[in-house]
Amino acid sequence: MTAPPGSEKASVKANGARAPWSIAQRLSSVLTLAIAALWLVAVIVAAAVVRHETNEVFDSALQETAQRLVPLVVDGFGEEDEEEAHELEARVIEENLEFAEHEEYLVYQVRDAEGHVLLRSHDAPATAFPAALRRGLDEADGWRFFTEHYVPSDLYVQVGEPLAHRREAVYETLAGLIAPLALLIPLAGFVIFRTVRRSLAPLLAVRAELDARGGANLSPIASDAMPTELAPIIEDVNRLLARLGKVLDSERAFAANSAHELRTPVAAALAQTQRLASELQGNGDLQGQRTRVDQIASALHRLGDLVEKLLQLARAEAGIALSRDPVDVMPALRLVVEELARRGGIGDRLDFDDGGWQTLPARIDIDAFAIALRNLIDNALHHGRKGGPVQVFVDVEGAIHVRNEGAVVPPERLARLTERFERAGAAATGAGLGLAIVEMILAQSGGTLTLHSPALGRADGFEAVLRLDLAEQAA
Amino acid sequence: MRVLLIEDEPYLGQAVQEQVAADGHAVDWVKRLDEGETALRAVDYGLVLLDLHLPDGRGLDLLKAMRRGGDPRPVIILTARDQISDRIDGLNAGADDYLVKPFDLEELSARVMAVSRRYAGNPNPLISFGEIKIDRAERRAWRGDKPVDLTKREWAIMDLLTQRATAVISKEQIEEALYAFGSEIESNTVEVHVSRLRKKLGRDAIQTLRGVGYRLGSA
Repeated sequence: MTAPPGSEKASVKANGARAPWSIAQRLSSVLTLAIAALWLVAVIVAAAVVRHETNEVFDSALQETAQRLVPLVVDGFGEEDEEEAHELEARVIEENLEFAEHEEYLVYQVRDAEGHVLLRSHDAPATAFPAALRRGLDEADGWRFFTEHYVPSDLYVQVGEPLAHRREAVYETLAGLIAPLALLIPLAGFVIFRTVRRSLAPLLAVRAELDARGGANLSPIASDAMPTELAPIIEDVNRLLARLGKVLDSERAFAANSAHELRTPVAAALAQTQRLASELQGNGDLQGQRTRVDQIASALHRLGDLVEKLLQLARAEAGIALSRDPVDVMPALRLVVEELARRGGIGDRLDFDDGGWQTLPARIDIDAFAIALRNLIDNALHHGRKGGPVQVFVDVEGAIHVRNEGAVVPPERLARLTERFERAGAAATGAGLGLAIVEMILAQSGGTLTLHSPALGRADGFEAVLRLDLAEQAA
Repeated sequence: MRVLLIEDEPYLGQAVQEQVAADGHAVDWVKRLDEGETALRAVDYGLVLLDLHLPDGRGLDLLKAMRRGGDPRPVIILTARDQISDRIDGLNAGADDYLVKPFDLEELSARVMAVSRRYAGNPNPLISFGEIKIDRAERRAWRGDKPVDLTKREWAIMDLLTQRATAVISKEQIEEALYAFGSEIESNTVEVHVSRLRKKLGRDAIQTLRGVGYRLGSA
């Protein structure tokens, strides 16, 4: 069953949640498109209105012109008989009068009842208009006409106007309405985007604040100067933070109290037992008792170790490692190594090399780091070859290595080592919690633990590599 | 050396007192912080063993107050607080060492010895003058090749005298060191112990500076 690479991703996308989206982007694009669409609708409505109104105005002008022309035209023809009228046929206005050259929007013809053109304006065609000789509006061949009938002489005055003229008027108006859209859409988009961004600024500020604080900072987020939509959410988050803080505090307090309550009696018992042992020393008759006392002492040692591991586990589970404020772990590193080195009988086995790092700032809780490191070194001392050296060193990348000699751990065991109550070998003692604790701490603090066996670049042995979430080196 | 133990747990306190006393030091044991403060004002202790969690306050506050007041006496913290930050706090507050409970008594003895040597300005546990050799760490003494047995009280005096080879120790300092062993201090107690030491180590081992005190013999 080999799936092609990428198929997993694709299926995740298909089943998974919707792709992340931005309020600012969505608001800006939807609002801009909506404004453009509404504007277009407005333009279409305006176009219809303008067309209608323009027609009315132009028609009225046509009609008015025709009516005004009738008395003038009729004067010129008088009560003449038809012959005379025929002689006057096709008379053109400019033959009589000199007018300034001009483009005529309106042209007219005076026609008799048969349709002959008796008089026309100079731009009017010589042939009769294709309009019917009937009083009223008519439209033909891209022209609009108004015909007025002078009943006494049975003359028709027809005023014509090319439709292109009024279409042009409508188109120019429409263009005037549409043209700003080219500027308006980007401008509206920009203004909306700016406004949305500015309105969302508090949200971004909250996000930045949450980003900036370490995981352990559970102090409330400032909710003043927040918009009313956001304030309740922040208050809820603050309540949640406060509750979480209380729970974590009480768990930590519990761990700290337990530390005192559990360690002190073990310490008293161990100390009393060791006093008893030294009092029995040198008394040959009591060697049996001496052996028993030593057994009690070693049992108490184990109890002490178990208490320590359980406390560490409790602390790890209480989330001590969640704090992500950068801290220099180098002093803790040195202190842990120094402290373990002083422990009787193992000091000369520990070899520490700081790799030239003066400071090692990392985003981790210092106590959690020390717990993790101590567990790794403890393990190495415990499970490494008896009396063999344990090397602790920081590599060029700032990763901390703990290496011990010993037999190779089979891969399937290696994989299970970080499980709870898993010991490196049936013969080994210990609570089997160490690596599980280390794993938990690193998971909380964003670091990684890798286990190698054989040790890196060796034929045998064991090596644990601790990679912390390093903060930038302080300048 | 006279040691002040401030520890409220009775069984642990008892065992620690016995252990440190068995090493030849005189141990005063108090169970409260205020008693500890009083004792520190009254007596010139060579070392303080300090628990941090006490019924009437935090041991760390006492340590800080001591250091603020310019008190340089060595302090070893004995505590159940095992976190590295506690340890760093303790050392920053001026502790000389830090032992986490439960600890081995032998470990405690070794730390007490190391700290007291560091403070005595004589980190070398082996001292010899004339035909006398003394191992302060092992608490053994030789005159020539022959081992010499010294009592606890005699060791307490030798500890004072060997802290710095040329130091002059007053009679009162010796009385104070002996006082913690619970013995009655008579007007001639110091003289009695010094003369016993001279018998064991030789007449010139300890010089008397009349009206001032005692110091190790140069011969």
